Amino acid sequence: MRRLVGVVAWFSAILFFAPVAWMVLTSLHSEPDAATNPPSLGAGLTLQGYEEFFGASTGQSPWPPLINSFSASIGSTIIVLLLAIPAAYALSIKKVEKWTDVMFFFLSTKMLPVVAGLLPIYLVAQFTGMLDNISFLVILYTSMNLPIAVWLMRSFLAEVPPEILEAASIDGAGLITTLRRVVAPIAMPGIAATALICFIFSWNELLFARVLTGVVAGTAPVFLTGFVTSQGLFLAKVCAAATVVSLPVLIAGFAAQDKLVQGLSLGAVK
Amino acid sequence: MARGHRLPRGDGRAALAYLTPALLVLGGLMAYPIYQLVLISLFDYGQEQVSGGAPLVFLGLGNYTELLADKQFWTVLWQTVGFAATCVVGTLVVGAALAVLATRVRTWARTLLFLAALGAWATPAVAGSTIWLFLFDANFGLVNEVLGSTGFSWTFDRWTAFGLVAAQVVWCSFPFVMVTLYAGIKAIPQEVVEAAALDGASTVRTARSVLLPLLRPLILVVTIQSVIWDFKVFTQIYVMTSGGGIAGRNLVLNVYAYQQAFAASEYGLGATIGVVMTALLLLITIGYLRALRKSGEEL
Repeated sequence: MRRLVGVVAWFSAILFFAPVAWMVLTSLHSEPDAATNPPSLGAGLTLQGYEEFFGASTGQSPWPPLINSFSASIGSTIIVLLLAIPAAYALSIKKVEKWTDVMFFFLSTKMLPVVAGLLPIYLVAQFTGMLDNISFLVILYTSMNLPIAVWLMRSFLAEVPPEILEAASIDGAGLITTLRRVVAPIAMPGIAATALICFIFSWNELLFARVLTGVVAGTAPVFLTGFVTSQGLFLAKVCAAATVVSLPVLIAGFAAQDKLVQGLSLGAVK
Repeated sequence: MARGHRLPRGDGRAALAYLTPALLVLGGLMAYPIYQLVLISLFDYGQEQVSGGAPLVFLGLGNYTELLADKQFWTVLWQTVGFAATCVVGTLVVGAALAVLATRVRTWARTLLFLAALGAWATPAVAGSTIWLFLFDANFGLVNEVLGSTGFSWTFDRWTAFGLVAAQVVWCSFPFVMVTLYAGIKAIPQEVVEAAALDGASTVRTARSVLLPLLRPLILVVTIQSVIWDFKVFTQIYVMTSGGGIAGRNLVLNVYAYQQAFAASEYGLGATIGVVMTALLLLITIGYLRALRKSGEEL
């Protein structure tokens, strides 16, 4: 049984890593090398694809959309955590009457198909004059990620041993102190995972960004889609573009991984 | 008042105060679109109505009867259910297996695993789908090259096309399950596991009777979240089967709704499909939660 799990896991790890490896490798090839069949694995490497993506010949810089994506993702992730942690704390540690109903309300807001929500939300943005405004995306991503963040944080906080909270309470710690000094360190892997998840979802969101933004507030996926549409036949360029857009998530992931690993091995309850 | 942390059950006021901001944000941002959606679904709402060229016609449940009488809708519905179920199972199995593996291997191997997962996760859906299409291209794809099946089109046949898209969906959604479960396993105090080992419990036994119950809330979250996502897959189908395959045979509900609403400018009908999807997801989730509670699960 254990061995089977191991084999399946390693097999899928390799299988699932292959497309990424292929993408990065192709992005470093020249266009003629990228287009050969069979793929030329040993061909010389070049940064041409990246230069093209950063506007060597089109003159279109990807920096404004990348910065927009950073603002929207980081902004919404911070707001989500600020709203979700107290809410999850209330739901997991302090028992709320009928909390399942509250949880279900959070969850049900995720069930609206994005496509179906487009038109009403577009109308709201138009009505409030927030079209092509990055703040609107921040608010939107916050509401999109809040339900899952609350659910996740609740499960993570449920793992905090009650004895510690009692001890904190006996020592006279208030809510903010308890959250900051006692709960946060223990739930750190959970907070890191939640933050990572929110960041990735906001970073990769395409449909809303495409409909609600224009020249000013366009995000990286919107730029990338335009790039794929116009340069789709140039494999190396497309792969370079996809690699650049994926890079921030990889970095965020490594930052969070560290926190995930720190974990609870500190041994809070003795 | 907020000093005591083990508040008696009745004293929900403090707890409610922590909940209110989140509830307000969500209620404000989601209630209005849902209200609008239901409203639009009750009208004949097309291009002329949006531009103000024609008066709004109230249909009542007209859009719903039209939809339910449409044979294609039922085909697409069952296709969506089957497709989503496959994706959910695949995602959970791969994600859980890799999460467990990540807790058991050396640091360098774990770093590699995370790199693989994050790479898959980080690739935006549009780029990911495009890359998979390149890899599975009939004549120039690496996969056909390796398998020696050059010329075989993965996207032509209905079922291989669905299979390919499902694999892509699993590929970009298993990292969520993996990261979440990994964090969950890591958050379990080591003492609990050690205590079980001291009591003479085997690894399998520890996993089943100690770890699994502690992880249940998380497994619940990732399952429900996966159901909701995979039921609403859009980008992958749209990109990989060029908008739903030949004659729409690879359509799923979300793409179908998009086609009705935006390609055919039947916003009313598109909204109706949206309402039906939301209702279905609500039913599935309530059913799942009920079943869990019946089996004695403390949620």
